[in-house]
This record gives sequence, C-alpha cells and structure tokens, in this order.
Amino acid sequence: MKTVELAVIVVGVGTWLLRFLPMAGTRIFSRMPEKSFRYKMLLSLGPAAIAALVTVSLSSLLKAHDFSLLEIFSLAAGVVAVAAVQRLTDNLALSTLAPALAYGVIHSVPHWLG
Amino acid sequence: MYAVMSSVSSFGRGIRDSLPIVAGYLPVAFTFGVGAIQAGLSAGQALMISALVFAGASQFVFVALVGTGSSAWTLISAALLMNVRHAFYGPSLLSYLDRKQQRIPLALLAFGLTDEVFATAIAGTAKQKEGEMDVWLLGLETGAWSSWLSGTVLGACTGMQLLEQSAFIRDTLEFVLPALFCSLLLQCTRHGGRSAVLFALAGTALLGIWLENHLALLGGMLSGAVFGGLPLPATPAATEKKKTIKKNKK
Repeated sequence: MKTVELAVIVVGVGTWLLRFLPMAGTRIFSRMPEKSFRYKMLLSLGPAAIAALVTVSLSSLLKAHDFSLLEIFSLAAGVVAVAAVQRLTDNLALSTLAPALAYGVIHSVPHWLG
Repeated sequence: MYAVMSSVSSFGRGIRDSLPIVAGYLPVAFTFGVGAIQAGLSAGQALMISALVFAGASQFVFVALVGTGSSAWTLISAALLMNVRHAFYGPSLLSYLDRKQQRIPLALLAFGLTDEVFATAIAGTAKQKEGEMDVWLLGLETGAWSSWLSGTVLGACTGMQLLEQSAFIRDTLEFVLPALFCSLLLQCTRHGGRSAVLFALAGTALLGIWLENHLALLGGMLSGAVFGGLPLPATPAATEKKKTIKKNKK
C-alpha cells in the first residue's frame, strides 16, 4: 500500500476517534446539574463553534483577496443578504444560495464592465 | 409498525434538512476534487479521502501537503491537529439526545459529525420529536456525506475545465459556506446563547491576527463556550421581570 493511502486511513480513523471517544466517555453529562458551569459550557459550545466558523470563513475570504475594497463590499452585501433572505423566507437553503449568488454577481461586475 | 414508520419519517426529514448542507458541500467538495487532481492524486484517491476522512478543511490541507511532497507523519499530524475541534462536538450534541430511547449507535453518529452537520443539528434540535433526534441526525449525516462524495467525484472528473471557463461560478461558490454558517448562526441565536456567540466572534477574530485559522477557530470556540457557561449578572429588565413574577405568585 502506498504512503498516501496509509496516511488517509490513519487520518480517517483518527478523525473518527476524535469525534467518537469524547461522546462515548460523556455518560456523566446526563448526571450534570442544569445550572452547573460545565453543563452550560457544553450547551454554549454549539453556538460558539458556529460563530467561530463564521469569523474564520469570512476572514479567509478577506485574506485571500488581500482585503480589497471590492471584497469588503461583496462580503458586507453577502452578510446583509443572508439576514434579509432569512428574515423574509426563514428558509436555510434560500438564505444560503441567494446571498452566494449576490456575492458572485458583485464580484463579477468589474470583470463584466471590463 | 408505528415505530418503524416514525423512524423512516424522521430519517427522511433529516435528509430533507440536509439540503442546505448539500448546497454548501457540493461546490466545496467539487473544489476539493479539483485540488486533489492538481496535487497529483487520482480520482480514486480523492474519493477515498472524502469517504474516510469527511472533514473539509483538513482534506484541503492534506492534498496541499501531498502536493509539496510532505512525509506521511506531516500529513497525519497536520490533518488530525485541524480536526481536534471535532472532539468538542459530540459531548455538546449529547445534551440534546435522549439516551434512553436512542437506537442509532454513537459510533455511527460520530462518523458524520462535521462542522456543518453539528451546526445544523444544534440549530434544528428544537423542531425534533422526542426520541427521534438520533434517526433525524443520521438522515442529516447521510445527506451531507453523499453530497460530499458526489461533489468530490464531479470535481475530480470534470472540475478543471468548468472552473477555468467561468470566473462567476468560481466567485459564487466561494461564498456558499460562509453564507451557510451565517444563516445557521442567525437561526441558533434565536434560542439564546448570545454571550457565547459574541465572545466566540471576537475571540476568533483576535486570535486570527496571530494564529493559523484552525487554531484561532479552536481558541475562539472554547473562549465563547467558557463565557457562555459563566453566570452573567442579571440585566435590570430581567430583575424587574423576576420581581413581577414573584408578586403575581403571591
């Protein structure tokens, strides 16, 4: 077996263990008092993780485009579009795809204008 | 019979609720497929990575390192380090699962616990029937995994030509995942957790100045969770509300 395939298998098993072992070992969760710090911390982990993913995904795009004005404007328009579409439709698929399309259009305008 | 029908219905709802993830995954997996071919891997190897690892960012790092001729040790340690954050998702998700009525083994549910699946699961828990959360989650993961594999195959087999031809498609695809995360954030802050969100946003942005993205992500996520767990001082409005409730009880 080649090195790459072997590395893929190790990373695959390792990633699965990273996801599974903490779950399997958290039987004490059900015994935690609801007002305890640990219980509230674990509940906050979800929203916190999504917020961190938002920051990283937006900042990666900014960095990839060298913090250009066009990128800042496109990202701002995209985020506003997400909030607007979600408020109007409450549909996750629409509020994901429509802003992506808006972002793509704004980004392409300078190319189209030549 | 009723239990089977109910499970099938929950699994179907999970698949349906995975559609926003599918919309986000197809283009990203497509790009991954293209990247893998560019790095010198075969379509079969690209599919193998997506099928076994199923963790977007670390897969991109993996193929980038393969492209630079890194050692197996470097490939493994870099990819696993990037996935450390996944260790925190399971325990958090368990608080929403009814362990007594659970039918799907944790080992299976754990396999598909990606960033997007976790975020969608957290945002969608309020809508699930009691005792059906695990089957719904399995449907969600199946939809996400299938789209990840399909996108990888499409990208590896046809991607190069398509992306070279259209800058508009390339630009549009870039914003799909950030848009998905923003949508999920708006949905899940409806049920509270705003202090955790604010600290995570600020923490990740600050750490991102000095650290690599995956480390900033981990640090920001943990700082948000820690602050979310702290007892916050009550606002004047909340204190007033408590007083009114006490008065009414008397």
